[in-house]
Amino acid sequence: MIEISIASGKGGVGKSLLAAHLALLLSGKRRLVAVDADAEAPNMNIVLGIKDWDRVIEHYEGRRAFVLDDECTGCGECLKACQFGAIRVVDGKYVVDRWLCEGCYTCSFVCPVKAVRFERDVLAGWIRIKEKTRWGFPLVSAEIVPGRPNSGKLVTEARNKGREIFREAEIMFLDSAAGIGCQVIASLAGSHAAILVAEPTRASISDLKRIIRLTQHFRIPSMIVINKYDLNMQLYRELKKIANENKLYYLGEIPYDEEVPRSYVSMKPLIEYSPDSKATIALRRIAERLDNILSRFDEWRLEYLPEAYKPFEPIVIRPDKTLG
Amino acid sequence: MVRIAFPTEKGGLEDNIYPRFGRAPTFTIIDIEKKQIKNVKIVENPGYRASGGAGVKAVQLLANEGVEIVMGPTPGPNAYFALNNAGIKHYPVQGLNVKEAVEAFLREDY
Repeated sequence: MIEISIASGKGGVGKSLLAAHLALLLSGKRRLVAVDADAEAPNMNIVLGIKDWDRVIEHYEGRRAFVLDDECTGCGECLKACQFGAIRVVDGKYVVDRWLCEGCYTCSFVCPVKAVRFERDVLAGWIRIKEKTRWGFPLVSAEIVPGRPNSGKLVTEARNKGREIFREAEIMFLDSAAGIGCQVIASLAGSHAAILVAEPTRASISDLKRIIRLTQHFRIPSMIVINKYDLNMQLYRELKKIANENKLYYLGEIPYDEEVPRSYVSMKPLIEYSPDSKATIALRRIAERLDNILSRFDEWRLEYLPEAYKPFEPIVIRPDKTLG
Repeated sequence: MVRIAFPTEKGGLEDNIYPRFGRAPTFTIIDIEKKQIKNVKIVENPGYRASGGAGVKAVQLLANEGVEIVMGPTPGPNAYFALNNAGIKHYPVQGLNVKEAVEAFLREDY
């Protein structure tokens, strides 16, 4: 199975739009599965207009502190030690706020009488499955419970579920989260290719450079799609230059088109809501190009494999030092 | 003697190298002495169950086990730095089983 992550660094540049339409447009000729790996803000189902699911699997992980009232001496050490301000005194009792607790163990570490205990395997998210969308391909969607820790594990499990429900699939499209964090790494690591989405804005260019460092770190051959390319021709040229310098395959561009937000409002995929719109035509062209690459994938992969092994170097900010 | 670790699913010489580093279910740890495989040990990877920081947990395990080299897919950024700090070398290998990777290592053409 060829696993392709759609990522961007910056949010709201059109990852879900592209991922959903690539799945839609290629589902006629290729066996594929779509995974919404953006667990913090899953919305591929909205782009596709899916309103119900066949199965919902609850995902449990992490922990939350609570105080045993009978053993608590009311010394207040836990309250002082908690970095998240999650402990409060209510009616003379120490109470842990369920939304603020990160399960870091600091309170139990400082408690002199060991009155802090932990509730384990808290409901942390859901994996939702649509066995067959009306275009034929299955969709797996991960969602995190608001306030629960960022989870690469949930994304990994959604990805494994996608493999499991459609073992014969040739392709998996992974709609990644924005940013370059845990969840994005969970979808990029082990991907055979990445499609990076950018728009001609300063913020998108800056974030694109960050995601490129990550794809180079993992040595993932990548393609680029420029969305709303006609908004700023100068930055559009700059994006093309970055693509060229970083050996990104130029998969295509999508013009600014108000039919896109209108299609969201109507809960219909763009290509059905507005089959002749500029953006639809552009998406069709992009899907055709991708289809060609998939036909000669091994050859393409070798050609666009990042050359050097460039490890990602984080900037370490220590509490005693400020950035210059 | 050199101690090498491989990310694996069930573990063992016949198992394929797992396509993920930090989230591999197990590590197969092998001692090589005089160009021969000596001991084979399978350890569970705590990173497999971790919600975050999987790669770093895996590196801690390898450091505790006294591993010198890890062969497998590229570790994530945090794991990469943890490996550097622990003085564990990483050799990128994919699509082989453990035995084939050991043979490649012994031929020195990884």
